[in-house]
Amino acid sequence: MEAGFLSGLQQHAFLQNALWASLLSSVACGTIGSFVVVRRISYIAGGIAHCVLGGMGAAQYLRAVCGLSWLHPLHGAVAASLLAAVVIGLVSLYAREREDTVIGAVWAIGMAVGVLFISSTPGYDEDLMSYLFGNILFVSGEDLWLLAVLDAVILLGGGLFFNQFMGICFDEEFARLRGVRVDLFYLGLLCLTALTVVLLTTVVGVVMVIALLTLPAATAGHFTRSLTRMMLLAVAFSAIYGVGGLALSYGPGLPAGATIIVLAGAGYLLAAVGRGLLGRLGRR
Amino acid sequence: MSSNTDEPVIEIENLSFAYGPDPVLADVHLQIESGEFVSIVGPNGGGKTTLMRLILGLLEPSQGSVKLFGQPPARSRHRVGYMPQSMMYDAEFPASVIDVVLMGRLGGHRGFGPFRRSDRRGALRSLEEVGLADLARRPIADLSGGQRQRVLIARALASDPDLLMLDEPTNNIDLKAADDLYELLSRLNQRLTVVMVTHDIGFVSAKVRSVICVNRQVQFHPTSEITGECIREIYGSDVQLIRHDHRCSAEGHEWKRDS
Repeated sequence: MEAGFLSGLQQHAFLQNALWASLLSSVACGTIGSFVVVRRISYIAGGIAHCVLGGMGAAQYLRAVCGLSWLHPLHGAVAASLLAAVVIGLVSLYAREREDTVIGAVWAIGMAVGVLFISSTPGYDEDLMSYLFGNILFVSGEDLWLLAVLDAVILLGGGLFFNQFMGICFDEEFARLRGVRVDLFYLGLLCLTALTVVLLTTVVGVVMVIALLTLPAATAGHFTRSLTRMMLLAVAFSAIYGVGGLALSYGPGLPAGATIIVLAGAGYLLAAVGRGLLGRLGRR
Repeated sequence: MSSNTDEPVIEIENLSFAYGPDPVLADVHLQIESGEFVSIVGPNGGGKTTLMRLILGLLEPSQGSVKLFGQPPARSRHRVGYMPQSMMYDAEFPASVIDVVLMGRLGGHRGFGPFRRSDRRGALRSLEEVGLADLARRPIADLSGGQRQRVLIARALASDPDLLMLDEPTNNIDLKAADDLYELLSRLNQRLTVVMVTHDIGFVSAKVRSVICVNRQVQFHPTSEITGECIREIYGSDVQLIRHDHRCSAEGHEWKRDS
């Protein structure tokens, strides 16, 4: 199986592209995923992720029906995810008590819009499945460039303002008293999360993206108590899950996205159980 | 220190505050001078934390005014070192002691990129001041309750404040750790003003120089004047003093006889 994957990797450009997409997305996934896990905003990330479908569907529709041939589904995904991030962020900042209701609504409306656009676009029904569950084997060279740019933006933003993001994740009120513009950085963090979600949907699709965003960071959290080390480990885990899932799925022709998620879930479970056992042994 | 000694550190006039229809604080007048060590006491739900949040400008008064160093709080609160209740954050958060203390330097920091060497030096100095410099690299999750409180004090000190404000600093720590903490606070009081919130009235007399009683109304007392009357007024009924190591004044004992 492994050998088949390696020889396939030498022969097929689509497999090389898939490998690159999974490695590129790992970098953003590990860094931003760690913030999402420690700030406990995976539900918000879920809302953002499902709006991506609306953006992809709208872009696809405009391209097919209105003849905007330069428009790529990923462009729609970026726009929709950023819009969702800002809307959800403003609601969670200024109308706290209704936050979960609004996130749930945005979540479902984003999907519904996507389904409507895709069903109105002639001859694109099969795209719905690949948006929902991902199809990393369809990533083109052009897509890779866009993914690389997104990665660069995410790393630059996360790196330059690492201290502020860590400050608002740990203790928002204290950061505010220190003069940090908490609201702005919170929205910024949600926007970086949105871009990361877009990167990851190319790998595993809209439905499973939250697992891939949070599981590598959560796995890493079992091994370290430093945020930077958690991020580095999470990048490594994300790459292992991504490439491993790709390799395992290639031989038997399984869907890559689902294989990656199952692998990530197994890794997380193993780390959790392993740490529990170690902890019990240590106490004896 | 840049603080002007004759200007009150905190000045509250005619303040009222309500979250809903019922006022949490009503008609509060208060003045705290530079160099004082003040404890804000009162029952849970009496408005202590609300008063602190108003002083910090995290809440806006419904009526009246709050001045911090003679200015609106939002403009002068950078001069305050704030220590929130320890339950406010996630104890499992992946951060080392020095990471947390460095958050106290966020304001003076250039706005992006890593902390400067001077920020790290400042953070280490605050850790030394609370006696935890050797734990700088330790994850915060591995600390005891008392150590965690000291880390939060070090974080508050890291910005070189003129006023230290602490919300329930002795919550969830044992008596020995609490005693050490008060020792530390009274040492810090030699160079800065200290205001803290506590429901632990037993501690009040030993180190603290004056007490503000908050239960909707606010009353100011030098510690020598804490009387049974005052305690009954704040808590609504007679309370039992469990700690007896503080010196009760003559008046303080009288209320027991009356009741």
